[in-house]
Amino acid sequence: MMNLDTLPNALPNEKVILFLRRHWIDLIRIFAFSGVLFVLPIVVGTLIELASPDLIAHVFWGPALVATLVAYLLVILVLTLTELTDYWLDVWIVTTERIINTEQHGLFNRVVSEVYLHQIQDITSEQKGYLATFLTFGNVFVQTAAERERFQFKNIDNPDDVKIAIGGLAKTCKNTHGHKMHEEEAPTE
Amino acid sequence: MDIPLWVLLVPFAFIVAFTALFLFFNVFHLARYGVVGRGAIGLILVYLVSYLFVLVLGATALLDIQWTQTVTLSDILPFTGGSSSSFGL
Repeated sequence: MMNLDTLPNALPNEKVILFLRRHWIDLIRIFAFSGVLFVLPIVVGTLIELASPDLIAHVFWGPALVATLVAYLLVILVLTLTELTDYWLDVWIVTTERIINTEQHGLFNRVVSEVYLHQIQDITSEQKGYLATFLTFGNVFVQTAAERERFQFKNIDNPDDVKIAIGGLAKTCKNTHGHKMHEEEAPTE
Repeated sequence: MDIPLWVLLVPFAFIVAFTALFLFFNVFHLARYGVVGRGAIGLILVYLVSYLFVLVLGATALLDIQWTQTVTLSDILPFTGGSSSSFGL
């Protein structure tokens, strides 16, 4: 497991400032979708019962329906758990020196990337739609000078506050690194 | 031709094995890549308990069925006068 007190390749005096996950609305979406899929057999079962009352008690189709139902419930449960794992493992850690982005795509695709705060050139926050505006969630994009795609915080809570916090940290970091660079460049007499 | 009812359990067993494998990968990912804390441990427990709950509930329903019973092709086709219930209802 990852320990926030001992981050991989931690720099001296590096401290975790923000630990972010996707907004809880994503959890609601996962549970709502799963809820519908869990309720679906009840609806189908009722329809079967109405259409053919004897089918449930049939010597072959009765057991076949029960086995199918149990298998279906297990598959839906595991799919829900996989979505939950995806949610849980999508994290963004902002420290005093860098941003660590960990994204889980399904079970067999994991991307971990990091960007140093002094490399940041542009930070953008966006909230799109009624729900995002009312529940204050959205995306934050971080652009560096490097030729790579923008670093994205997806569906996080209070993207504006996060943008301001990262901006402040980046400024502090640039000042610190700027001083260090000047000190290194200055001729020694 | 008589077909034993337990043949239904063969695809069922494959599906259970498939879901168990996915459960294992989920738990493994949480244990390996999750952030240390009560959240990850709690989530792993929720995963295991919910999976076992559905599995035990399903097994209880399946145990009521007489799997050693055999059926004929005419039994399988509904509405053609199949034999009595295997649930003992």
